[in-house]
Amino acid sequence: MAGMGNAKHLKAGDAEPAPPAKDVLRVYGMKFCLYVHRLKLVLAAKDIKHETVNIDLQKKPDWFFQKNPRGKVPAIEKNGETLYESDIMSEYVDEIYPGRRLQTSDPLQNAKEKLVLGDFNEAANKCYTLSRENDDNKRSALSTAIQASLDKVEKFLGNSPYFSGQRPGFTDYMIWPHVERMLLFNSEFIKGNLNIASYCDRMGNDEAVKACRHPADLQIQFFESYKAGNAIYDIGTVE
Amino acid sequence: MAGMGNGKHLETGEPRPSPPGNDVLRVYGMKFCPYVHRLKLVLAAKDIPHETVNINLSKKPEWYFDINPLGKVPSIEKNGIILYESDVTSYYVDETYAGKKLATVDPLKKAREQILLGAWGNGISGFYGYLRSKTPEEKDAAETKIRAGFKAVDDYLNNGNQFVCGSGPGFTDYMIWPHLERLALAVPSILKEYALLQAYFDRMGEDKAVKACRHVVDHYNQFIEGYAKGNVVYDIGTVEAY
Repeated sequence: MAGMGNAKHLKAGDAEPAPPAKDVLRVYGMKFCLYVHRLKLVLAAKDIKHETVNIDLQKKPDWFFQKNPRGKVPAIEKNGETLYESDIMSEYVDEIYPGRRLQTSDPLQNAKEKLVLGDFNEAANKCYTLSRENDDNKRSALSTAIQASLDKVEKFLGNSPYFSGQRPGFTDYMIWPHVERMLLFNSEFIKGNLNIASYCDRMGNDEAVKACRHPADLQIQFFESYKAGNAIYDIGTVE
Repeated sequence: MAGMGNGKHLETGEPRPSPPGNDVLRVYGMKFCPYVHRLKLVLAAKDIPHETVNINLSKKPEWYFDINPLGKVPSIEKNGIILYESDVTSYYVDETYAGKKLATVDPLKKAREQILLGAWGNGISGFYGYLRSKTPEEKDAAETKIRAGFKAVDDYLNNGNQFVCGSGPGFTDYMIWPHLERLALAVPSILKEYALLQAYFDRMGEDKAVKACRHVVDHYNQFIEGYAKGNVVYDIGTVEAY
């Protein structure tokens, strides 16, 4: 299983790799990026073969803007087509590759999953703000807002073992990268919500989740360097 | 055709209306809201009967937070089911009601349309920036964003297609239109700089759903005037009691 990919992160001045061979799916990623993580989980869950080219996001190679004019990861390239945005590409690969369809087809369940994904994104984004906030009053207001969003998530998981129903599905893989980081950096929000906590235990046994999981010390090392304003991308095995 | 709905905008202190009748779709809206407009276009395009309850967004009724904890419009209610967010509700009604499916099915085309909608976000944020701009610098910055949004759609239309979704207006066209309609009123000369987009705008103007939901320009201008002054008036034009 490819996991998040261990290739060196290419930076400004590094040559553009040759295009992927015919029918080969290439992911432009960053080893610790949670949005790349979403796509990688979908690829792992469906066992979709692909190659990974990692990008140094602080010193982006010029040629990367031809793949994604916004310069963000993930992007994908296959037979001359490029696409970007984690949710859009994840849906795309789910739809074009065979195997179990991860997206929910029931319209009402699908709509509810999108709303709960919105709630979780809201909580997670505030967690990232919280990690950089030193003012006690602001920290306390953020924590209250995070818990208010998580209350809705907690309620959702009270009725269903996974966001997508009886098995991990598309919405689970969109949410999980946030959850995994919350477990490391804001674990009080996981421990304080029983349904979310037991969800984490269940998801921890999922094959795709295991395949894409970094050792905690690498993830922490990356986050510390990122917070210090000097992200180190090539951590752990580098190929 | 119901258009954007003329129901009085309910405010703090006013009672919650009784739930919609069995199988009746209710939209909680606001007559001039571009996000409600998205949903209304989809409903009009598919000719889906529904009732509208308008909400005063400056003085939201307490009970509205039981419908949508975020307090935003649009929301929908039907047979006890409540959903919100313009894209989620629009997609849901497209999928659950009969008639021509508006959302693109082809995975690659769909992905490209979603990326375009993301790029159109520049046009949307430029629109709000323009309305709120107080200095020439702020106005310039807003116009730069508007141009980025216009260019994205203009480039997309450079493939011989009449509409973003192909030969007829579809889901993504109806997601883009509400802010485009407003921008065409705010910055008509910038729109003219983009020939394909201007021609697209004129074509969309002939669509029956677009016509059904289009604002009376005077009313819209009155609304924007109130909005710019920070004293929004919602009940403009015909106002109906429930």
